[in-house]
Amino acid sequence: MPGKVAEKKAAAPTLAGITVQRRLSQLPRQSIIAGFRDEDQDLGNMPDLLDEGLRAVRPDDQLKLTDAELNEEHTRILTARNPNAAENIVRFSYKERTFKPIPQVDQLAVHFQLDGNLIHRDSEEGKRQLIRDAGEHAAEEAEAPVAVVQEIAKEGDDDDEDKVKKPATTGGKGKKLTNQFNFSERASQTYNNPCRDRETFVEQTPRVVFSDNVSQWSIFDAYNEDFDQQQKAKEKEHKKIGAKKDDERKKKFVVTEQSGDDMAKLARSKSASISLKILERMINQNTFDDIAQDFKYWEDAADEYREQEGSLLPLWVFQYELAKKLACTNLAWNTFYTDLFAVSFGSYDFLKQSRGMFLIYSLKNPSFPENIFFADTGVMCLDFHPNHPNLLCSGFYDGSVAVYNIAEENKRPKYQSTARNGKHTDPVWQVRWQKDDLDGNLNFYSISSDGRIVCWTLVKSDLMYSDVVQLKLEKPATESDEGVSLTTLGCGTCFDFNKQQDYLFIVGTEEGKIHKCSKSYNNQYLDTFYAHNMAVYAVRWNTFHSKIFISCSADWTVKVWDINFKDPLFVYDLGSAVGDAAWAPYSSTVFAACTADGKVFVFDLNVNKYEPLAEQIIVQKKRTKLTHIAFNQHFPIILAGDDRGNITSVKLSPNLRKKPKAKKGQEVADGSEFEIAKLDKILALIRDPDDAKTKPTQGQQSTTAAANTNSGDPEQELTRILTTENPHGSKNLVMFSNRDKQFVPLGNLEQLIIHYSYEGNLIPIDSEEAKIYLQNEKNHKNRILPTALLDTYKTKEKTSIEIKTSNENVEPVHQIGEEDEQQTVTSEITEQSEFNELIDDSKTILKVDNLLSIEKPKKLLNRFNFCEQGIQTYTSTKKEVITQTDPIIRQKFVGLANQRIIYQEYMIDYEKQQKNKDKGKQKVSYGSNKSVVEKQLVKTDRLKPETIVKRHQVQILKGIERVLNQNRYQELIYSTA
Amino acid sequence: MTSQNEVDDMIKRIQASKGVQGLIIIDSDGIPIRTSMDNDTTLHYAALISQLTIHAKRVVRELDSSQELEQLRLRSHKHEIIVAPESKYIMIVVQVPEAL
Repeated sequence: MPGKVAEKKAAAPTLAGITVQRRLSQLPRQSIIAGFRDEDQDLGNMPDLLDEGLRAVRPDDQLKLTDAELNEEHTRILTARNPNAAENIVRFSYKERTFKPIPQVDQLAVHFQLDGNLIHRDSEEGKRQLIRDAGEHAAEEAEAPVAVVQEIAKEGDDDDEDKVKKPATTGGKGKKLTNQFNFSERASQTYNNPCRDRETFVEQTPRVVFSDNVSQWSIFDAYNEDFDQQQKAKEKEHKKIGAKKDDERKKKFVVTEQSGDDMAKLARSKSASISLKILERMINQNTFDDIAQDFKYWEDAADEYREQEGSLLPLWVFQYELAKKLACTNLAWNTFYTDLFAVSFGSYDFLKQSRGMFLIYSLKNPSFPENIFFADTGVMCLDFHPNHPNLLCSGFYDGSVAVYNIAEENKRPKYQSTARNGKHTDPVWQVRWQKDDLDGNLNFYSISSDGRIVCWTLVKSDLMYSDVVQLKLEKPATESDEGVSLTTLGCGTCFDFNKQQDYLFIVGTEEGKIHKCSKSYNNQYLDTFYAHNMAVYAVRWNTFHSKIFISCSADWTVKVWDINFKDPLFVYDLGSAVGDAAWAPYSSTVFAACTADGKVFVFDLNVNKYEPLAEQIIVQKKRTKLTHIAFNQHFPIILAGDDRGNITSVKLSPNLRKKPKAKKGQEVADGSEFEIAKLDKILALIRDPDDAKTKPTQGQQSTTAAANTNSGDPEQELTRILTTENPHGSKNLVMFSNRDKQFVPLGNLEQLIIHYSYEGNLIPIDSEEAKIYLQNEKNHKNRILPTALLDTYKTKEKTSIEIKTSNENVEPVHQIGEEDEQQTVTSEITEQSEFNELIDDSKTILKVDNLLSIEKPKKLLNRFNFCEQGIQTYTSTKKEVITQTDPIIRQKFVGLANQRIIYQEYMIDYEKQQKNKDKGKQKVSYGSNKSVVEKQLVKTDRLKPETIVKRHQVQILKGIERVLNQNRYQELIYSTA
Repeated sequence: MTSQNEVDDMIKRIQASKGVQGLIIIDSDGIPIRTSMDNDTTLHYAALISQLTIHAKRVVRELDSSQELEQLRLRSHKHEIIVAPESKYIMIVVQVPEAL
């Protein structure tokens, strides 16, 4: 222990020495104080210093601790735990799919870190530095420590000297390491690179706000589009590998695609032309709306009242500017698209031959043809293939025939006959597709005035021909043989193939004969009819009956033939050259014909064998000749073409397409068998071998019989039962009930039908009119009043006048009547009399009268007047009635309002106000004479349909109905051709 | 592929049709490509109709995703606006239907 104490004592002076030294270093700053301190060795006496400024400043809020507290020892245990580290760190374990706490938390806390630059002297680097420094800085290093030593030596005492000398000795050894404390680094300052700001202006990148809604389908569409493009790109690549030609063409295509503006792009897109087409049709639908409605819905109401007459309603007229001077030479409905038809244009005038064309029209667009095909010569005939609606064969004036594919864009014929392969030498008058031959090749026949009937077969890319019949002119028997007999050629003008026996056909010729031919016998007629005196313009087999055909000619006649009889069955003279005749597709007995004086005739042999049912001029200008006619297969319309390039469509009235009524017990047979039977029945009457004399009478009988059947069976008894039920009222009306959320049938339908209604002529009893009237009554008591009701009560006239006075008295009584709150409406009549009693005793007698007449209404001008009064008394009772009503549902209403809506609201309100005003005016002038008359007029007006139509809602409903109707017609427009 | 002439003809024909007040063709962004009406009206129609068409398209598609809007006819008191939308262009025709 004593040793320890001694050590302490020894240590104390050294400690003091150090402090002195430290203080000395501060000398320059506190030189004055330093003088004091040098003597004052005791540090513990510091608070006793006289100088106030040197005392430690104690802040006011410092805790004052007692000595014990000051001396208290606080133990701090250093642990390796980092108190700041979180202990509950978890991490998601994908393996176990849960959050797992991490057990090891980093406990290392770095409070301060400094990387030193000391190097171990034995290390490679250290050695190298030592070697280098030893040479260069030896002298310097030696001097510097010496200088330091000297400086310190001056100030310090002996103890210090030892310390300072140490470095001096080490320096002397030359093993000097660079020392960070004692080493001044030398550095050279370089210029700083000056900072410069450089600014340039760029154009602001344009910003666009883009908003869109995305739905599944839009995404789907986008994907599809992309997919298509990818597919296309692939195809292109494939093509590239392909032929070089293709490549070139593609290049061209690309070039054209790049050039041109938006408009050109639009023009090139195919869908654009389709939409434009639809647009055009829509516009036409609007402009020709009335015609379209007629086409669909119009039925001539007059037909119901006439038995044997019909009418034709002109519908659209198809015109095309370039076809104006050409004559329609043929009409053909498409076999598949019922609204599509083709018209060929050429000229029948030998001297005025020019170009020709054929047009494809659709009923959907009457203003412009769907397709236009031009030809250098007149197109004389055409025919749609029955199974391939896009194939159309045509014959030309120069004798060639051609086949077109109308669906193709390039308007060149697919096949065409040339002079080398069997072209006709004269105009081709008719062409007709036939069934495919045994090899399945398409083929058609043509007839020309060069006398040949040729069968054309489409074999791959060639048009093969074979002559079927060579028409020859029979030598007239009257002419004697002179010289060499020339076989003159016959001139065929028309032909038609039998529908059942397809080898059989008939040929009409220019000289008026009709030949019955067969495909299998060349140059030989099976039969010849001397049918007409002039050229036969058309021959047609009946649609149903395989033995009957019709022919028409320039000799003004139309004839109906049986193939087995030489004589015609019917002959009709139409008063002008008959351009065409055609059987109806819906009936075996109906046919139509058109003449050169612009008339269309429609016959129904079943109804009238002698007169046409309809005979109508349908051309717009005089001297226009009708050249061709064609029935539509589906719609009851006929097309008629004239020689000025117009095609007129007409609708057949119901009488022209009426089916004969079936007799009682007989089922209404349908189909071709029935039609054949119908025609046969008529023919049987004609063919009756008796003789010609009986014919007309028979005919008349048959017509009358027909009329009888038409007018209904007389034996049938009709019973009529009168019910209160309205037969026109629909019985299954439903109305959507918002409460039940379902459709509820309407129970009480309105069964009231007003066949006649009459507005009463009530006049208020106080009015001038009434007074005058009453006056008259007084004067002429026995006069019979116009109202029938008065008859029974005539005797009561007098009392009724008196009542009038009593009525006047009633008015003041109303107030008194208030007391009586129990009175009911039913008792009002007696009530009234009581009032009278109350008021005026002098009138009790009158009142008795009054009571007597109560049972029979007290009639003055009318009995209703009385009731009105009763209502007045009723209203006079002031009864407080409190009814609980449902609270008015308050709903938030959100609506868009703009100026227009507000304006409309104002307008409606204003109109209402105006109306109210008008009503008020009417009421004011109600009593006057004139207004009564006027009012009656107004009231009766209300029942007129026109007035009803004016009502707003009805109008809207009608509008909707119209749109619906139009939409029903829409099928025409939307069924894509 | 239809030639430009043909489309031009068709457009002329439509413009010449009875009661047609004007025809506007706009592209899918509502920018008029071709018009027969004055500038203001055209812009007005183009802006409004293109919006309406998009909405109408959406309606049709939302109701039945296999459907496609074909035609839009707006019958108003004075005239009818017929809109034929297709993938890239919208054609608008303003017609007075009862015009004689």
